[in-house]
Amino acid sequence: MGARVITITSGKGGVGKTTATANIAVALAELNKKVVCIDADIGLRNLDVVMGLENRIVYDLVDVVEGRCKLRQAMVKDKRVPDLYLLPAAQTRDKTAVSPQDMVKLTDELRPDFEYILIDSPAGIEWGFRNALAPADEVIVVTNPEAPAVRDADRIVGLIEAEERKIPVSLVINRAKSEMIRKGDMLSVSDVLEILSIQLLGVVPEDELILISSNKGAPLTLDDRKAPAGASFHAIARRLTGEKVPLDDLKPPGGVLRRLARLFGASVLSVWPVL
Amino acid sequence: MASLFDRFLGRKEPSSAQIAKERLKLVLVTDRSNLSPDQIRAMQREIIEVIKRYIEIDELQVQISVEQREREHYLVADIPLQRNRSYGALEYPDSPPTAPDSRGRSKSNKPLIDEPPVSSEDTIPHQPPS
Ligand SMILES: Nc1ncnc2c1ncn2[C@@H]1O[C@H](COP(=O)(O)OP(=O)(O)O)[C@@H](O)[C@H]1O
Ligand SMILES: [Mg+2]
Repeated sequence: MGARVITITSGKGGVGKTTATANIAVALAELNKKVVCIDADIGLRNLDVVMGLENRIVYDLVDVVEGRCKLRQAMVKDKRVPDLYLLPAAQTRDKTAVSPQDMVKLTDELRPDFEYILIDSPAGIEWGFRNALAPADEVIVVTNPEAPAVRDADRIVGLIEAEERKIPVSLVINRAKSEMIRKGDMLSVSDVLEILSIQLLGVVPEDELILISSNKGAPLTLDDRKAPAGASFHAIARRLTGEKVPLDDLKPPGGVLRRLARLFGASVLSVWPVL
Repeated sequence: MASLFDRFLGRKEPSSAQIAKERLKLVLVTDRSNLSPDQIRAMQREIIEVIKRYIEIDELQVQISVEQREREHYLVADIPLQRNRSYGALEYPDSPPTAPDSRGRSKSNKPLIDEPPVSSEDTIPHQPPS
């Protein structure tokens, strides 16, 4: 069988790739999937900090590629869930220390032992993105409901579509604020879908608990199932496993008329079957 | 799409989200096609010139737009033909039946020509070059 390699990318920085990678990885592990995440952001690693594993790192991705250690030695096990590992990025090297071929080789070595390999891509469309894309079976594009992030997401989707091999792409809209959307001051889910025209994987609301969880190094999906963003990431993980989870992640406050208005505003969703 | 409800909710001005969406659509046409807004306008003018060499058209009625179906863009021209007065037998119906659109699920029919003007001279894109 072998693992599915899923790359999480965005174009624009700071939209929530690392947050999404950590939370989806933990959520998948809680579903008893065998998961490894790879931090491909060499030189700017932070998946380790978001996951709370920074103190246990001995070797990193570049050490593996350059033969200073075995792949297994560099993998940090997350003891809070059954089967989750992190392969950290190197902090003191630059992106060119790893090539796309290295990434393919590395993931091929991991495939037999895992079900999901999640790759946290760096921002941009250069070397690091190429590294993260090379081994991908699927790509998750993360965006925020704001014009610059959506524009960059479109660029990334264009680049992925231009690849010779066909790579399925799905979208996570992160940091949605239902109140602002309701007031017409934030692009709605259907606005973003109309523009990007790719499969929607999930919508994650703005949630202060995300910040608190990364302060603590404990992804929200680890324990707080009631946190809005945590629930969304759980739903995303279940959709990845093939389960049909309805998209009610964004429950708008307000009366019947407003809910009706939202319903109409989101009508595009009906022709965009959720994964 | 939300405009009816916007009015319902007492809003008249386009919301900032609507403005963002329109701006995004426009900038993505140029991003995706690798053509500048000026080049797109020039192309429109030339298309109209070519068509005029063959048939009579009312330039002011011409609408050239970019339609998005899934992730493909289509250049779509709506060109009403002028009635040919000297050819009495052929009659154009006053309102031709409009074919139902069956093609695409996410369609944004956006006129290129009525977009926010880049500069004042661009405001009348259909003007034939004098
Ligand atoms: N849903 C969310 N709600 C609130 N804050 C968020 C959310 N998602 C991400 N953030 C915050 O946004 C910042 C950037 O997130 P990060 O995952 O590091 O982005 P990227 O990896 O794309 O650069 C972080 O401070 C993170 O805590
Ligand atoms: Mg990051």
